[in-house]
Amino acid sequence: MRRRDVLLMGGSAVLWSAGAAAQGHDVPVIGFLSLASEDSFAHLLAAYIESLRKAGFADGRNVAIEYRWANGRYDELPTLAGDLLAREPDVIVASGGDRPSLALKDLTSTVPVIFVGSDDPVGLGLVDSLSHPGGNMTGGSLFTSELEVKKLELLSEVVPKATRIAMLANPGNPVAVSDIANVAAAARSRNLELLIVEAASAEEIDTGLGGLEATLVHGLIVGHDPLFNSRREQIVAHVERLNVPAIYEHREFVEAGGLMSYGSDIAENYRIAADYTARILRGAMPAELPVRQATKFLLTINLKAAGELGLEFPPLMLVRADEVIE
Amino acid sequence: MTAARAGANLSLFKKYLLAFFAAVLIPLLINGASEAWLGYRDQREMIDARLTVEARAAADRIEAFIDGIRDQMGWAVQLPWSDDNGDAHHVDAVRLFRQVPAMVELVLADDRGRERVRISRIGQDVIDSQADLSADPALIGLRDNRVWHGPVTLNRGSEPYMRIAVAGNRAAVGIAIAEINLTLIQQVLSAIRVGETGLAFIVDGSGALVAHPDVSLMLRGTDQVMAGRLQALRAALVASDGEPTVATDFAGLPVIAAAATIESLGWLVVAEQPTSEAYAPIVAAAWRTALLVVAAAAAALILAYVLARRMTGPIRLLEEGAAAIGAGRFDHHITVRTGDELERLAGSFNQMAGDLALSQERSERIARLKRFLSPQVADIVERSGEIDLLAARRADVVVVFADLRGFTALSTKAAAEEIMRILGEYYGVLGACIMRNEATLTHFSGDGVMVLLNAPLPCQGNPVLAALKMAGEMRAAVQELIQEWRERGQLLGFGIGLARGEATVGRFGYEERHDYTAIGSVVNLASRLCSSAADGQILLDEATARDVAAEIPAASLGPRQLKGFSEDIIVYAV
Repeated sequence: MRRRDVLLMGGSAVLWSAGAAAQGHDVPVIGFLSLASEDSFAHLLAAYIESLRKAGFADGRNVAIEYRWANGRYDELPTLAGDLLAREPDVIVASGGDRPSLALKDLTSTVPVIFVGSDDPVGLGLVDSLSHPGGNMTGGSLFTSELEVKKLELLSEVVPKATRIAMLANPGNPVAVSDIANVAAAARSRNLELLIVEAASAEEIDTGLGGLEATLVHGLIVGHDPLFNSRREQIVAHVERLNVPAIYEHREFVEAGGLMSYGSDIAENYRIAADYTARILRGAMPAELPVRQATKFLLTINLKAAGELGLEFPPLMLVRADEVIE
Repeated sequence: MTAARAGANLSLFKKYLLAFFAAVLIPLLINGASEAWLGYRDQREMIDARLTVEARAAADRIEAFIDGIRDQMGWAVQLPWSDDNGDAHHVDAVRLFRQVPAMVELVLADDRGRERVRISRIGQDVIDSQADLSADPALIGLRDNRVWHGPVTLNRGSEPYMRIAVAGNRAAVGIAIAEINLTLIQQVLSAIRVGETGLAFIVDGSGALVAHPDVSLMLRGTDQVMAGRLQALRAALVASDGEPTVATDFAGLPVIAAAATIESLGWLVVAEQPTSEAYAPIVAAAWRTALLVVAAAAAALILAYVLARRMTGPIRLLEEGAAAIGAGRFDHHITVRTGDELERLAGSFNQMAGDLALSQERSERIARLKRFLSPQVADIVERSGEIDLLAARRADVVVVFADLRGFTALSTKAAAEEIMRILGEYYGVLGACIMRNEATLTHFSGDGVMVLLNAPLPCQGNPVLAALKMAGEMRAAVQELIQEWRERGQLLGFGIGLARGEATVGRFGYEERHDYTAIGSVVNLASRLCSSAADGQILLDEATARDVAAEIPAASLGPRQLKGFSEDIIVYAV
């Protein structure tokens, strides 16, 4: 009889309450710190919450989620991170590139942090190694920096005659400098002129892309960046005005009218974050949870956008595309 | 008494308890133990068989996954290479790439071992680089086989990757080399369930983890702790010669593990189930048995207590009864209504009490009889049980009177001690004579005694002869005493009178003071004859003397005037 009781209570319930008690909460608290804004990340947050629910934790029932949205403003991240830490959360999810994780890294080395869509967790010093993070941080990595050159390659295939390509990059992104260098090197080898448009805020996106002359460039690479992800409507509108072929990181841009995207499935990274959140709430140590890497890279193309641009995708591109929006 | 009884109760309770324990618990325990052992054996055999099947099935699925990729790659090595069909190969490569999501990179080389197409999901595509791949292990491996599997390597020290190379059915079609991200095997493995919580995972030839349903384990790369456990598991599986074995899983918990090999890859697929789950039915059975044992123990305890109580009640009654009977209360009745041996025992006690009451009454009676009957006669009377013998009746009896001459004179002047001594010696010898001759002492007073013969039991032969014989013995014995007394200065004589005749015999008296005696003139006669007898004389009346004339001739002393008799009595002396 007693044995069955122990089994029934087994693991989860006991561990949650133990964890919650340790932090002085009725239920465990998950801190959710994001560079982006709530509305632009709603579908990703939904993926996270749904996966968390499947893992046995429902917001408002046996777990409480505390949100902090920076709405694209990098300078607010340290304040928001400090504010969140003051709530003594059991675990924090850092969403929107590496900036939130870096802000948290300065403030705590004990509260478990799960980063989502990190570009280079080892290079940025978030973890010791992918297989053994060794500290209070772990999460999912997209290694999207490596895909920037791939994006140049794919764009070149669509506009083979292009000689000048622009790249929208965010200087506030810790990997921006290396990304630009890599793309510039690849462009040189393809005899392409690369024009860098820098934007670190919504306003700078307007001024940067607004100042671009449509006749000056033959194509645009929108660099991977959480800020850009959260401002996709704004960016796509500029690109439509410019009427140039552009390649983005995520399919969300293509859904919003963009021509094509190549990148990993970011929603998958949020599902992984939910899995790790549940594990950490049940007592797992982030130091022992390996960083998960993206395994799926999706090419999404928009035939309607191509038609409006008056261009045709080469047949190989159609073969290669994982998703074709008509 | 109370303490002893309590002790006895306790030991009875203990004995019952012991008996029930032996009768109930021992068979139950033996049964439980044998059931557990047999259950364990059966369950283990079943688990072993199932795990072996699961491991084989998992291995087949993994092999099918890898073979699926290999077969897909076959499409890229069908078109022979020529100088102008590079585009067609490029299309083949892209289509293959599209078809296999696990493929990270694909290289097509022509029959000369030159790289013609390289497409990648992350890196840049390279067409017609003409790089010489002849030193690539994949090409070396393909010299002897159509298919080559490379070793498992770690991408960024975490993700397991493996290269697969496939050659066409002729050299002209070239070869295809693909880099596979094995992380996607996790999807195959996570679909495999071994029992409720069991799982299957893959270890490569070097003992490193290739794939596991838990991705976080898979991505740990060269983890020292994990490597140690995997090596221990591998060693255990090798030692058990392919049979399932008990080992430790990655969390350090005991599991039962079975392995199946994928020959083409040199991989070991391990199916494992936690022992806690595998043995759950046995553990449940053990708990049931334990519960049963506890219940049986409780039942034995209660039963032993109740039975002991049921026993001790009657036993206490019996003990009290025995005590009462021992104290002489023979009318005590023990009432036990158990319908068993105890009731019978109580009956026996009651019976015994009744018998004891009778026996005591009898012995009291004997004690009374012995006062006037010789022991032999008393015994006969007692044994015959005919108390009627002592009832009053007319009987033909011989009455013997005897007393000392000169005793009255002595008693007035001699010291009390001397009188008592003389009387003691006197009655000592007389009593011996009376008893020896089975005569009945009716009473004595002072120095005189009255003895009856032929009553209450008839004598054998002539009672007068018997009486005379006794009288003779009395005279001889007392004469000796008289000699002794004379030497002490006491001058005494001894005379006897006896007569035969009808008399009323029986017990006379009141309450406990009953004496057996005879009443009638013959008693008077004998008494008078005694009074008349000189020292050493035994006097008889004529009729009595005539009775034994043939055997003992008596001398007539002539008629004498005896007190109480109107006529003279002719007296004879022996």
